[in-house]
Amino acid sequence: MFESISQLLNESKANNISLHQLILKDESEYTHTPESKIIERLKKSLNVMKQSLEKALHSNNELPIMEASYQAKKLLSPGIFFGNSMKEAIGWAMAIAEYNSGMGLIVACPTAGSSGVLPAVLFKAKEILNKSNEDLVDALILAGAIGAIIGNQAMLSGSEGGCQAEIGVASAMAAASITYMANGSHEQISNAIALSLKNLLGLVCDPVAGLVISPCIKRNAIGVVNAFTAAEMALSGVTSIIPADEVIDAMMKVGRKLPYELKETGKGGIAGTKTAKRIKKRLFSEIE
Amino acid sequence: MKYTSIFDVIGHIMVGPSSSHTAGACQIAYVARLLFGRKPKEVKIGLHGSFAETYRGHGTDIALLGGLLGFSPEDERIKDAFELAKKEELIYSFESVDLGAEYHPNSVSIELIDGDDKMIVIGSSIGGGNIEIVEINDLEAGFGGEPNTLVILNKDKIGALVSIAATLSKYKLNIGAMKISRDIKKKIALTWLESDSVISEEVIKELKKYPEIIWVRIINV
Repeated sequence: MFESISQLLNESKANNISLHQLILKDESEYTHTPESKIIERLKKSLNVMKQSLEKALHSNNELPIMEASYQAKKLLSPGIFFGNSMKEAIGWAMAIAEYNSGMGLIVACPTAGSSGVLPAVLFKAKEILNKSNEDLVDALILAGAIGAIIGNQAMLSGSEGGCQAEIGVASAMAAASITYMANGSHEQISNAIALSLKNLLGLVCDPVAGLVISPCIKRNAIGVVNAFTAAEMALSGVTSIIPADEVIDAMMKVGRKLPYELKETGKGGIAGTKTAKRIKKRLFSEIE
Repeated sequence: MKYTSIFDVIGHIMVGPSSSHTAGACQIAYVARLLFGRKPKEVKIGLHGSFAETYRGHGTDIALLGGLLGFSPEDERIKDAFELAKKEELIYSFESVDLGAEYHPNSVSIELIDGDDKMIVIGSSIGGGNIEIVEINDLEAGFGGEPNTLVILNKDKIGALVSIAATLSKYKLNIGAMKISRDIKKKIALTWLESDSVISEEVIKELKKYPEIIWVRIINV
């Protein structure tokens, strides 16, 4: 795996090899797996993502926190402020996240709680840009490498670094991969990562009653909007003053500094509100 | 480096909602059943730490039972585990236990029973769906349930390790990691090792021929 975003981008430039090919070559060498096998496995992941979206849109999941159920479907109506397509994308992300909360089969990317962001962004970008399934695989390869770099330089879990390390990273992976899909330059990809991570820096992990439901499902929607925003900005030439690798370093430091109550313990933040405490009490008395 | 492959980040296909509380729990139970070697008639599940506190909302109980029915974390039948356990007449019980402060907060003790045959497996879900099998029948384990893990219970006497090494060498299996822990009173030892390549059934057959070997299991998940 690559040490940093800059190492990945520089190596690709220096050797005049596309990012996905470079990552694929590295993955193949490191894991002693032929490239064709890796692509096969990526296609399997994409298929599961597709299936989870389709099943999510047709399922009637009742979640342990009842009032969090059936929210995604409300977004499948025409947009008021958003174009229909962006509204649909946030609906998709929430649908997959709801499906995950109801014990549906998903692809953790990077985590189960943030599993709606990447598929929603990738599938919507593919549709908007009219790209092929092969392009989708290439984008997914880049997303995986970006996630791994961030995981190694910082962390990939709410318990270690707050929600910035789940939805934040998912959003950065998505932003990078669609900037790539839209033929963005290496600099633009780097900017998309920096911008998306910065926007969600410091986001805490505060699940009501400790369950992956609230506010997790809805944060998948903001991860999608943030990814499209960062990619749109980067592709328009907006630059991040702080390089991506330094943003990742800042994210790691913020994550470490976040107090225990705000790292998946279900104690602080939204989980610490009056209503959340009431829900928790109700939930655990119901099932005793 | 913690994440060495792109599949460490996007490859975990699993039944939700939580990689540590659902997928990891299922994986521990699934490996426990593989270690037991067959379908248990009864299972007693002891939930420790965070597992004990939030197991219902995360489906940890469903996932554990699913794993014990032989479902891996990506098997969608997990959701119906309670119903299927009833159908298969698997007797189960859940209770909160305190294993001690030295155990990871997401730990579980699983007792698998079939007549006089009993095995107790303690496992921890250490994050991102990754697990560690901590103990088997009071013997320290410490493997992660990686593919191509060989787990052997053998008599603690001279020659046991030689038999294992000779077999592995014959089948040209390269060992990446290995550990032995002994119970001096019972004169038994638990040996586990991770191979770089797939361990075939032939290896198992060969190992079973040695009188020092009590049982052998491959974890090929």
